[in-house]
Amino acid sequence: MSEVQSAISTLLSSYAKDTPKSLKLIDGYMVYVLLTGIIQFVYVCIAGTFPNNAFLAGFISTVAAFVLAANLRIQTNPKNASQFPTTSPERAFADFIACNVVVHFAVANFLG
Amino acid sequence: MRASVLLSTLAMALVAHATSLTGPRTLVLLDNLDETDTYLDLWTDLEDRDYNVTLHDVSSPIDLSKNDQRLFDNLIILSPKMKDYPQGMSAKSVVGFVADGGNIIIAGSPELGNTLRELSREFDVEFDSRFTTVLDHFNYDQDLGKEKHDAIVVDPTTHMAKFDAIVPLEKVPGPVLFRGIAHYANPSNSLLTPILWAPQESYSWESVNLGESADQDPTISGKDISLVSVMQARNNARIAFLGSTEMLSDTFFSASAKRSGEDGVVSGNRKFIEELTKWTFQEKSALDVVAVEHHKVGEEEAPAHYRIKDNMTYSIYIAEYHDGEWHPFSADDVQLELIMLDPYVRKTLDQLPLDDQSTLGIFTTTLQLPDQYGVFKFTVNYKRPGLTYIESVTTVGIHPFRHDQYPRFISQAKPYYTSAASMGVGLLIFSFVYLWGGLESSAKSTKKE
Repeated sequence: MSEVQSAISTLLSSYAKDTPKSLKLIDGYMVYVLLTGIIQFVYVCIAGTFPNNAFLAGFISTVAAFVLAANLRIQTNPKNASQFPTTSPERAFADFIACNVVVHFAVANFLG
Repeated sequence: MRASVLLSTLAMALVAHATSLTGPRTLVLLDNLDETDTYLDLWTDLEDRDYNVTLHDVSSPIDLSKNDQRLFDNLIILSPKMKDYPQGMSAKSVVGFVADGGNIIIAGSPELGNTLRELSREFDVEFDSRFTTVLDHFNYDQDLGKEKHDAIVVDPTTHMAKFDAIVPLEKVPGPVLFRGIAHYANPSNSLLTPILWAPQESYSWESVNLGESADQDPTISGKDISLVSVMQARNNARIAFLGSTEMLSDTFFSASAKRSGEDGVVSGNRKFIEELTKWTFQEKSALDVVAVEHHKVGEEEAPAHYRIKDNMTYSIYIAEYHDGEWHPFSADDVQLELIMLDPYVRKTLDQLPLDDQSTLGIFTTTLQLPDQYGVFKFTVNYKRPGLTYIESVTTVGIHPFRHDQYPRFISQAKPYYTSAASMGVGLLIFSFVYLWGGLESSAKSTKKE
C-alpha cells in the first residue's frame, strides 16, 4: 500500500516538476472536456436518445475537442520533438485551431 | 354549413305530412278476399294513419314493381296457405322489393305453405313443420284456447324484448294473445331480433291428434320459440315475422286475455300490432344524419386538411322521425372513430342540451388528432336494434408538420446545446491562455534546449 502511495507521490511530484506549463494547461483543458462528455453520456442514459442528432453533435464535439487537444499535446511535447522535425509548436497550434473550426461548423450544423 | 342545415330541415318538414317515411302504398295479400272481414280493426288502424291499403287475393296477378320502380311501399302477407305466388310475383321479386327499400310483414299459421317458408328462409327465419302449433297447458287463454290450449297468453313484461325503439313496454297495456306456428330466428344473424317469445312451459306440436301419446320430443320448446321477430336489412328496410295471422284479427284485438285462475284483462294485441306496424313501416325510430361539421378549435370553417396533433371539433346533427315529424335524436352512446385502416381515436360524443326550438340532436366533441399523418376517415358507425343504421364517413387528410412548424429548440436537448457552446467557449479561453498566458516561452525554451 505504501509502495502505491509512494509511487503516486513520485508521479505527482515529477509531473509538477518536469512537465512544462503549456502541457499542464492542455491537460487541464482535456480534463474539462472529458468531464463534459461524461456528463452528457450519463444524461443520455437517463433522458433517452431523443433528440438523437443533438446528442450526437454535443457528444461528438467533446470527443473531437479531446482528440484534437491530445494531438496538440503530443506535437508540442518537447520529448517528442525528434518525431516531428518539421512541425513547430506554432504550426501544431495552427493545425489545432483549423481542425477545431471545422469540427464546430459540423457540430453547429448537426445540433438542429 | 348553417344554411345547409336549415335547408335540410325545411326539406324534411316538406315530406313530414306522410306518416310513413317509406310511403303510404300498402299491399295486403290474403288467401281469400272473404277473410277481409277478419281484420277490419287492422284496416281501420292503418287507414287512420294515412295508408292506402290495397287488399288482394293470391289467385289474381299483381306486380310489386314496374320499370324498376316499386308500385308499393309496404307489403303485408296474410296468406299463409299460399301455394304459389300470385302471377307477377316471385321470391326474387319479394327479396328485390326489400332490396329496393320496401317493408314487409309476414304472418304465418299452422297451415303455412312452402312458398312462405322458403321466403322466410331467405331472411334466416325457420318456421316449424306444417300443422304444428305452439301449445301451452299453463299459459293458455281460458276462452280462446279452452279446447286445445293453443291460444297462449304472453306476458310482455317478461317475454318481450326491451327495445323501446321497436315496441316500448309502456305502450302495450296487457298480455299478448297468440295462436299459431313457432319459428326459430337464427341468433347468429345480427340483423334479426326476436321480440316476442313463448313462455317456458310451451312447446310446438301437431294439434290434430292431441289425445294420442307422443313418441318423440318436440323440435322446439320454451323460450327458443320465437313468436314475433323483426329484421332490419342493411339498407334499413324492415321486415317483421309473426307466427300467427290470428293475433292481427278483430277477435284477438278485442279479446280479454285470461289465464286459468286469473281475471280477464284486455289483450295488448291491438297496441302491440300498432307499434309493430309503426316500426316496420318506418313511422318511427328512423334516423337521419342531417349534417356533419368539423373544424379546428377557434375556427368556423372546415379546413382543406388538418395537421397532426391539431385540436379540432367534430359535430354530427341527427334527427329522429316519429309521429309524422322530425325530432331531435337523443342518445348518450354515439361514438366517433378516426380510422386509417385501424381506429386511432374512438370517443363518445356529447349531446348539446335540447331546448324547445331544437329540431336536431347535435352530438359534438373536441379532440386532439393523433400523431400520425395520412388520409383518415371520421366515422360515426351507430347501429342499435330497431334504429336506422347510421354510417357517416367524412374523409380528411392529416398532414405532418412543415419543416418550419417544429419547435426551434427542444428543451430536452438543452444539455447538448450547452455542451457544444461550452466546447467553443472553452476553446477560446484555452487558446487565449495558451497564446498570451506567458506559457509560450517555457514551451519554446524547453524545445530550444
